[in-house]
Amino acid sequence: MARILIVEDDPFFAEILACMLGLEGHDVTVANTAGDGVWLGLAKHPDVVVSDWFLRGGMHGGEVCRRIHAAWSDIKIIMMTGHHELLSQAAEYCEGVEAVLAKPFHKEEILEMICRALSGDAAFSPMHSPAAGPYHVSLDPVS
Amino acid sequence: MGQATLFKLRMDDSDAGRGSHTHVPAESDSLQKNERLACIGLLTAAIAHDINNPIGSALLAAETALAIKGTAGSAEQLAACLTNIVASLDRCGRIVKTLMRYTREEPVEKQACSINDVVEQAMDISRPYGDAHGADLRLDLDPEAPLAPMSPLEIELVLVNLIRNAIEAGDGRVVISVGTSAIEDGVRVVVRDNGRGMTEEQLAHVFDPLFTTRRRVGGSGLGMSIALGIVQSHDGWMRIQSEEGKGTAVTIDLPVAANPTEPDTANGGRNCHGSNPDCRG
Repeated sequence: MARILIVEDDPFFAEILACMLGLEGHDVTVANTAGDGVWLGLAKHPDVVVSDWFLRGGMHGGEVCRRIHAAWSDIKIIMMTGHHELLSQAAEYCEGVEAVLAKPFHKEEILEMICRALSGDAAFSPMHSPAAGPYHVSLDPVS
Repeated sequence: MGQATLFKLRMDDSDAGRGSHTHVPAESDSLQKNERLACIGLLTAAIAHDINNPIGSALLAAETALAIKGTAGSAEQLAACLTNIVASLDRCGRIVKTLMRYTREEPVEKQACSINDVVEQAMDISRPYGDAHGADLRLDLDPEAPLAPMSPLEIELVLVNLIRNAIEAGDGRVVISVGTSAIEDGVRVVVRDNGRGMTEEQLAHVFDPLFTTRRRVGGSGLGMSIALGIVQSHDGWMRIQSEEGKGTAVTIDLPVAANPTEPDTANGGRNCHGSNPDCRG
């Protein structure tokens, strides 16, 4: 079980992602704005942050994660975005980004990403999702 | 397209030779159907992000439902998953309807909206892109701006397009301000930047489909023609003022009345004189 912070301003997406991860036994917190994401990330010190790139509130997900990672360097970050042209940018924005998921993605993809992040598996390999096509990027952790 | 024919193509003679220009699109700028179809490419790209979220939501909900079906105590969670799927697919349908409007020439579904809310949404969407390109985005909203009938999604699309153009017009640090104001019988939005501006030739063709100054960075040249079409379908009008090396200001006026009168082109046709380095209309 892990403490997971979801930062996602789409309420439907946030709700189902939280529900799914909760059913897998994780302790899930949801932030629907960038500001709440930073606040909850600093306050709760999650194990994993799953953040969308585009957020309401004047700050994007990469900046949210950068601020949380600056306080808690051991957190693992999984970025997600529907803007596939931003995958590389999202991957390189800050330290701690373990993977970038292109929406839409399968349940098993994000579960595997979280599992690998928690286990500290450095040997990520690029994954293909039939839903997302060849847009999925996963990374070796920044050393 | 909107019922009002709003503009005459003109270049202000007083600006001749000063390097600053005003462009008001011609009456005959209504897009032909095949051009409109060609514009779908850009619109599709812009909408793709919006539709990936509900698709992703429905996919996760369906997979979660499959995983928990038949397990004890799962009825409530199954219901939540199915509700999520229905809501997500409904959102997908509404997004597709917006796209289809441009092929069927359906009238815009308007509702009384606050232009300030729409501007703030557009800025929120644009801010990460601006941050990545070193742009300084600023708001100057008039709290007295009245509600105006509009499709908020479409006007937001126009503003996101204008802001993106302004971001890409800056080489490094650019200041972009988006302001609203109440005007007689309408509301006004102005998107200003202090980027590289446009030449006279660029300004003359700015509303032409497929004309772009951004081919090297992937511009398809469809954005401004679509933006104009959307504004015209709202019985509004748009003008662009630009001075090469100084910046650009795009003004959109939207009526608050259901049947607007002709715009006051004399007052609206303010020019950016070469002697005004600020290029503020």
